[in-house]
Amino acid sequence: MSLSGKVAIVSGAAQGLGRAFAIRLAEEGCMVLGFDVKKEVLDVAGVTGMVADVSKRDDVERVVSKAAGMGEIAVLVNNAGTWKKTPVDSAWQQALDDWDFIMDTNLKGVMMLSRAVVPFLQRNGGHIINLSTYYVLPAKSDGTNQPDTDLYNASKWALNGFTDAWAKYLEKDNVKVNGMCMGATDTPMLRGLFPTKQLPAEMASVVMKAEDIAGQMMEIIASGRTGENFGAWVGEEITIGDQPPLHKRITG
Amino acid sequence: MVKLKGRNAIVTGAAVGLGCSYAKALAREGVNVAVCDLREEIHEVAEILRSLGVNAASYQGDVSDPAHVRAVVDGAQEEFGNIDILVNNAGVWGASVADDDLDKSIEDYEQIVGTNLKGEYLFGRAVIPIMIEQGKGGEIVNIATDHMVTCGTPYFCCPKLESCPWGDSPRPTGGGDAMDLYDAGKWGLNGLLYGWAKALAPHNIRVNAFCMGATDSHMLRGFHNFEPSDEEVASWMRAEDNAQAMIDMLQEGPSGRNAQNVNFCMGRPVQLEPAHDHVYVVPEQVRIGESS
Repeated sequence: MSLSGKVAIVSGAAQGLGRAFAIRLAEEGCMVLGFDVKKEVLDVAGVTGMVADVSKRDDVERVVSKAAGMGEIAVLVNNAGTWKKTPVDSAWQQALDDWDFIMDTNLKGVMMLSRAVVPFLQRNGGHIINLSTYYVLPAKSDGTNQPDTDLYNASKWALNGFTDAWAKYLEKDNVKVNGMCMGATDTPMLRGLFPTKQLPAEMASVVMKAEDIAGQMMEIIASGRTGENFGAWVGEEITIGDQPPLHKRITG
Repeated sequence: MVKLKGRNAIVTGAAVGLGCSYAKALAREGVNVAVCDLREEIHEVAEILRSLGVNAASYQGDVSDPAHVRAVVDGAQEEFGNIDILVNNAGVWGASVADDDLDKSIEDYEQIVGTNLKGEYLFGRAVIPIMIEQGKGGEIVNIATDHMVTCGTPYFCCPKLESCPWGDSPRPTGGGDAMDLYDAGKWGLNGLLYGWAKALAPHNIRVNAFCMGATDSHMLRGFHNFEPSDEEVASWMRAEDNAQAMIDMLQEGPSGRNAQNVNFCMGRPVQLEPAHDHVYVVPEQVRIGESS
């Protein structure tokens, strides 16, 4: 399926991976609607930008209405995500606030945006990409599933349920649904974890580049595969590899 | 084997099905149990628990409601003095698909993810500071689903029974296409499982999950419109057998398995299998008694 002239929606497109995905899809000939809570999304070259919050229903409906007006929607990249430390012994009110902060964007937002877009994808087929993390694939290091990010971990694991069920349900409509599970990538989110907002030198030299992950996304779309989690690890070639057996497609 | 007598537990969703069986099995071991459920019958369950010779407290409410969670946990602490065991069992099932409309979907999200993931999060987060403060270790068990389990991972020690319906073709991820929110909520429990197990291992608090396949329960009978065939019922696992496996796991104590999804799959004996190798965490990080 050629994407040329089709509409692609990218959430969280102001910076980092989302920005790279939006730019790459535009280069591939898509009309890209990128949105973000950050207004820098209005300045991404070749991309129609909107300031909108994926955790807010009205914003989601506004985004999808705008995209539908641009043409035939063929790609949805559920990229917008948030991260914070959520220590297990934090105060009760903090625990409640943290649930909303993480889940409204990373899980409920993904659901709302997808629900709103799916009827358009069902018309002529298309692609949904859910941005996850290498935490949901077999651990190659001790850096996964961190002890002080229970909600972030849970929000990304939960996407497995969406990727799996949507791939099965939307097969009849030729809509492919996959997850991308990458390790450390040079993004503002990753840089933000460090006091100086810069990556330590030993990390900067090895982290993956957002543009390369965007390349992997295009490979996934071109492959026509569905219902898989695709990993990308620091220090390894970024590729989609051979199709794993059915029982390993989600679990790795 | 660790003795459970005299410990104090909370079991959520305990009016019927697995939760009720867990509560009764704990009471038979001499564990005081606080139980909660949406259903009014939860108070009758507390009467049964008392008749088994333990202290019991019952609370009617919704696990997705933070005020209810606090009432249960604070009530149990006041009643029993401390809390040693949390069985995060309450769960609901509902059909939801990728092209449901937004109104239905948001309602479904609040109910299904609200109960199956947020409810377990809230109970864990209410109990964890208490368990840490007590300094006596503890046990948290989340009840998940076999939809998250395949023959490949994380279950490695399958006895490969002749009766296994999957035979030589490994079982793929379950759940089908019409449970996206149910499956999302249950998959999300992995994030709590591994995060909590790592954070709590230095406090001698174990965190494990039971991934339940088809078990004769109120939920499963409801799935079959409360008219399952005798054949279907005969193929299901029995909640009482699973409750014994729960007791067996709790009796392992701090030296037992940690951060594990324990799989209970239809067509296999309902018993606690040996711990399996870790897949999604590095074992040293979840070893009880070592700092993470």
